[in-house]
Amino acid sequence: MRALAMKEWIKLRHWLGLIGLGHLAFGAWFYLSMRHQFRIEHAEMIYYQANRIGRLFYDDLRYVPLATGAVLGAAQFLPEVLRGRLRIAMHLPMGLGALILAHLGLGLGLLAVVLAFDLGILAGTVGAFFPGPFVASALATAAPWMLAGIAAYLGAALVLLEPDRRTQAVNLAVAGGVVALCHLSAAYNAYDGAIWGLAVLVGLMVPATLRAAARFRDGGTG
Amino acid sequence: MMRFVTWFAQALLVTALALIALPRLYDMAFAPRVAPTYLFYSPVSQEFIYREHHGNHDFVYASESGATYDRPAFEKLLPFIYYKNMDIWGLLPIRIDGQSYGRDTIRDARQVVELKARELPGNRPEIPVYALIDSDPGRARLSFPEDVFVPRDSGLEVLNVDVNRPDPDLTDRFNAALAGAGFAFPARLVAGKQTILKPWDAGVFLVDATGAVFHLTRTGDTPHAVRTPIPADLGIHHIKVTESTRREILGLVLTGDARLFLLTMPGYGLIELPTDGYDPDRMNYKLLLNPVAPTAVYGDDKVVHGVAMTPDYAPRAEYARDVPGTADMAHARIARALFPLTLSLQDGPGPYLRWHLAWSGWAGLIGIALSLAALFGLARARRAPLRQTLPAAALVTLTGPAGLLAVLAVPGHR
Repeated sequence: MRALAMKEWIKLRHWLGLIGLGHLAFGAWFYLSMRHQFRIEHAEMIYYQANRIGRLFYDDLRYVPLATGAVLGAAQFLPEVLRGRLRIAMHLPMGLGALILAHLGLGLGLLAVVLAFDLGILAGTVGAFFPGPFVASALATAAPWMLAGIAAYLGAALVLLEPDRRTQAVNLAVAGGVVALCHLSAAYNAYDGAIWGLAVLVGLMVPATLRAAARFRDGGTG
Repeated sequence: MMRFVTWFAQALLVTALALIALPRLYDMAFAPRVAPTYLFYSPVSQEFIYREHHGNHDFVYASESGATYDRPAFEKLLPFIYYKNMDIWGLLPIRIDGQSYGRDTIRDARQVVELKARELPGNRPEIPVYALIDSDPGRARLSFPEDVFVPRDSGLEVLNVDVNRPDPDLTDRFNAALAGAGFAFPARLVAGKQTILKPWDAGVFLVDATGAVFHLTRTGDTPHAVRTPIPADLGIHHIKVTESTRREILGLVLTGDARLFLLTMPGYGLIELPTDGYDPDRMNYKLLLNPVAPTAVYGDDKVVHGVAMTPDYAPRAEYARDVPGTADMAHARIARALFPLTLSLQDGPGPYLRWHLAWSGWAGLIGIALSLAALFGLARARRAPLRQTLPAAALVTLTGPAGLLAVLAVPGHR
């Protein structure tokens, strides 16, 4: 397990550095962008637009988790399937399920750290300019965007591990469908009562990825 | 076993997405849009008249007694709605019940008060931060204040939005005003029209912990809190505040048991409105006020109700009509057969998204039977053993074509 973590670290460290820098830059820009709006517009008008018209001042964050999940998933699994490294790992004294779950666990753990950073930036920035109820609303509104990031990561694994082109296309449509459901509404708090269903769909992508890995090992059969 | 579980998870995922996507794509391709029925009471013909949409450009203008009209004739029966057209056509002033009504008389006497299902608490998200608009700004137009309040358990917290910090002085003043009026925290409900795009500001209404209703306004930095005579045991669910230039009506009061009252001014009087068959969570309620026959119209995509009243709001005529809708159209019948089970993630009546799993009825058995026939036909062509086909057959039996699509898209387990 430790060796596997070291292998993933060596493979991903440059990508993680890039993702980390990108999110730091985004966080700084996000804060400055919000601050800029409060400098050029009366605060009371921004409150009105945010609360009554439903303008999302943090909408720039919407697709950041999605892009992060897709990049991390591709960075982790593309080299494995392009150079057949995963086949070598499959010879380790470790079951296929445990091996893939370990890969996914590491990837999801890293993604969770990045998404937690994004949520921290969101809460900190919104909280700097708006009272607490706006922060709670922003976090609830961003929750499906975070799920979209996880769906994009699992979708990348699902597509890349699948050896058959036709099934790969199906998996791409599945990942796209789940991500699209996470971005169905632009209204704040719209998913408050529906997020559980999205979580179930994203959860189903984990065993689906295990199946794609098994098919990869078996050369597209099974 | 592991192989079956992972196959089933992937097939379930594809099935769920197909249950959402297939009916939606089908509707985009074939479903016509049918507008809601517009129902009115004509003070001219003294009966209900309506505009009904039957899809595409097929509109019917007719009366409850069966008469049909063209559009101009229909509009002439509704002088308090289409008074601008009637003025252009030279038909004003008009005499009704011996009284003459000209353009200006009608304009000053008419008003529409509406309560939509999507406006109700529980149907729309709301960030509980409310602007403290100055009701008497000493200038022609209202302006947005820098002060907002957040209802807390022990009182209101007034914040200055420029610095995003509490204003202790204003917080104390507003809480003292409410305490002086007998307000018991926490507030159950805060209602007001949080905009400056209105002719005047009525402030906000707050329902306290005991159910009593208080009216809070602001002049400069001075708060004014009044305990209204609205009964505390009314069980208020929502107050829709509406400020019109007529200054006779303050809004609508909806109770938890779906009674609706007109809130009048001055004096906070309540007039109970007709609500027979009214479901606030599904229906929009519209009160068309005019000096002859104020009319309540409420309904959804299935039925529309109308109650015409005397000027003092006593019911004088009622009518209800089914909305034609699309359920009986050919495309809808085919859809019920093709899609026995549908899943959707949709908003409505407000912006909240909700999951809906719906069974189309017995017609759905056709889609299931066709899908099962296709599945067993394929299994036979591939010489697959029956035991291997059974899990797929179970999925198709429950979901029809969506399950079949999943079975075809996700390679079978061995």
